[in-house]
Amino acid sequence: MRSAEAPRQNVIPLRAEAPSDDALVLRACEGDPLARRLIVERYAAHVAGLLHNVIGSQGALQDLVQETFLVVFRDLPSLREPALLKAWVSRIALHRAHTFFRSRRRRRWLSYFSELDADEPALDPPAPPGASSETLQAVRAAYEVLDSMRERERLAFALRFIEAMTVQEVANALGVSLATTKRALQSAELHFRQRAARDPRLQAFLEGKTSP
Amino acid sequence: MSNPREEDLVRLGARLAAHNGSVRRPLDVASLVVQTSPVKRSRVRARLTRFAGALAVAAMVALVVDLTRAAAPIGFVVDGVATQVGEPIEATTTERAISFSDGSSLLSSTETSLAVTATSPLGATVVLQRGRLVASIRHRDETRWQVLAGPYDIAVTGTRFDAAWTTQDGLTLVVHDGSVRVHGPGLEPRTLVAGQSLRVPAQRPPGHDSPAPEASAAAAPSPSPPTDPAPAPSPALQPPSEAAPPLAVPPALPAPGRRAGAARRDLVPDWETFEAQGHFEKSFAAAEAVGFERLVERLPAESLVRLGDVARYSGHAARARLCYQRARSRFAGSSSAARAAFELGLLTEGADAARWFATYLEEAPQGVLEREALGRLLELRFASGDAAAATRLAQRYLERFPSGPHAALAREVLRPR
Repeated sequence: MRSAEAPRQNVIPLRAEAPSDDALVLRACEGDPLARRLIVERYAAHVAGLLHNVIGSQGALQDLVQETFLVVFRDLPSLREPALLKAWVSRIALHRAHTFFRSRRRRRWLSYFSELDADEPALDPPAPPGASSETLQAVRAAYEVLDSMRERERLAFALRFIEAMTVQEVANALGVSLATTKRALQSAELHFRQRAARDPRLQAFLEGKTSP
Repeated sequence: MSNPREEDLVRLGARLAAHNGSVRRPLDVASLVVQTSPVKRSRVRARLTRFAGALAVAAMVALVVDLTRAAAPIGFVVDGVATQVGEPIEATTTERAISFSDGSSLLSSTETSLAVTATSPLGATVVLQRGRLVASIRHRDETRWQVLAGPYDIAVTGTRFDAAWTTQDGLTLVVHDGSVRVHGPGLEPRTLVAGQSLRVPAQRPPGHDSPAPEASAAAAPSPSPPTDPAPAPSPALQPPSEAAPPLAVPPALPAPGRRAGAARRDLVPDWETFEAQGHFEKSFAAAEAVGFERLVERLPAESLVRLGDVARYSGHAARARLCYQRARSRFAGSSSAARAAFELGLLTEGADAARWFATYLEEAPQGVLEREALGRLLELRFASGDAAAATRLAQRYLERFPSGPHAALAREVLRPR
C-alpha cells in the first residue's frame, strides 16, 4: 500500500548505488559518523542473526552486538582488506560469543553448576505464527545439546548446520585449520547424534516429523 | 555442499535458523549507533577511570536520592558526566551541554563560564558569569528556574531563550518560546514573550559616556539611570511583531566579546556540527534551542532527514517522526522522502512498519537501503503469516542478495513443505 504523502506520479525511482564496504571503512576510519552508522545498519542484523543462531537466546543479544561493534570500530584501522568487512565483523562476533560461553561457564561453576543463569533466559517464548509446541520443544532441546558441547565444537556445529556454511567457511570464520574444523565438526556431530538418539523431541525433529 | 549423512542435521539447522529468525526481536539500531560512537566510548572510559571513592559517594547519593525521590532536587550532568552544584563549568574552546533530570537543558557557547549554584525539586539557579548560553527549560505545573547573568536576574518558567552576558557588552536576551521575567540595574522588571529580545548595554562607571543602544527593532531600552525622566518605551509591552518581528530564524546574539552585528553563523550553536561529530544529544539540544519546528519547516530535504536521525539517536522518537513525515510531505518523490519512509519503518511496528518498508522499496527499488528494507519486510510478512507475500519477497531477496543477512530466512520461506 502506498503512503498518502508520496503520490505515484511524483515517484522518482532511485538508482543510487550503495557505498562499497571499502569506501565505508575508509570513511569510518576518517571519523565520518555517517559511514559508521551505515556499517552498523548494514551488518547489525547479520551479527544479531549469527549470534542468535550460535547462542540460541536473545537475553544478551543486544549487548553482544554492541560489544561486537565497539571492537569493530576500535580495530577498524587495522583491517587490511576492507572488502572483507563482513567476514571480519563475523569473526569478531564469534569471538564475542566464545568469550560469552567461557564467562557463562565460569559463572555456572561459581554458582555450583546452577541450571540456568538468572540473567539469560534459555529460549525466547513468542512462537512464530503456526509454530507448533513440538517445534518449540525441539528447538529448546537442540540448544540444550549445544550448551553441553565445548565452545569450539559448538561454534563449528552452529556455523556448519544453522548458518549453513561450508566446512572451509567454518574454518575461516573460526580462524583455525581445515583439519581442526573437521575434527571439531566430527566430534560435535557425534555428540549431537548420541544425545538426539535419547531425546524423542530431537529425534522427531531430525527426521523431519515435527511440523514447522 | 553437504554429504547425505549430514542431511538431517542440515535440515535441523535450517529449521533452527528459521525459528530464530521468526522470533528475533528487532535490534535497537539507533541505540547501537549511539552506544558505539566515539563520544560514548570516551565517556565510558572516563567513567571507568573515576575514583572508586567517588563512585561510592555517588552510590550513597543515589541511594539517598532514591529514598527521597518525591522531594529530591533535580540532578544534572555536564557532557554526560555528573557535576557538583557550584562547580564552575568552563567552555573555552568547545561548547558544553548541561542536561537536567527534569528534561531541561542548557548549551553553553565557547568562551563561556557558568555554574549551577543551586537545585531544587522545581528547578535550578544558574549563574552566567560571562559568555552565552542557550536554555531550553521544560515547562511543568510549577517550575522555579533562575538565570543570574551578571547583575541581571532572569526568572524562567517553561521556555526557550538565549542569554548572553559580558561586562563589556552587557546583557542580551532572546526569547524563542514561552516567557521570561527579567530585572536588574537600570532595567524596570519586565516580561519578555516569544519573539521578543532585549539588549542592555554594559553599565559604565560615572563620568563615562553612556553607550548608544543597539539600533534594531528588537533593541531594548538603553538602561536608564534612575533619574532619567523619560525612560525608553518598554519593548515587553509591545506586541512581539513590533518588538521583534517574526523571523525565519531566531535573531542573532552577540558572541562574548563581540558586537551585535557579528554573523549569526558564528554565534548560534550548530546542530549539524554536533551531528557530524557524533554528539547526537548536543546536536538535538542545539536544534531545539534554535527552534526545532522552524528547522523542520525550513531545512532542505537531506538535512531534514539527518535532523530526524539526530532526534532518533538521541531518543526523541516523536521528534524524529515529525522530521521524517515532513520530509515526505515537503519533498515527495525525492530520494530523501524514500529514505524517510525507511526510517519511519524503523520507528513503527507490524503492519505500519511493513507499509513504510514497502513504500521505500517502491520509491527506491535499488536504493542504498534496499537490502535492509527487503529483509525487514520479509521478516514482517513471514511473522504475520502472509505466506504469499513472504514467498515473493524471499525470491526477490535471494535474486538480489543471495548471501545477505536474511538469505537463510528467505530459503526457509521457499523450502518445500
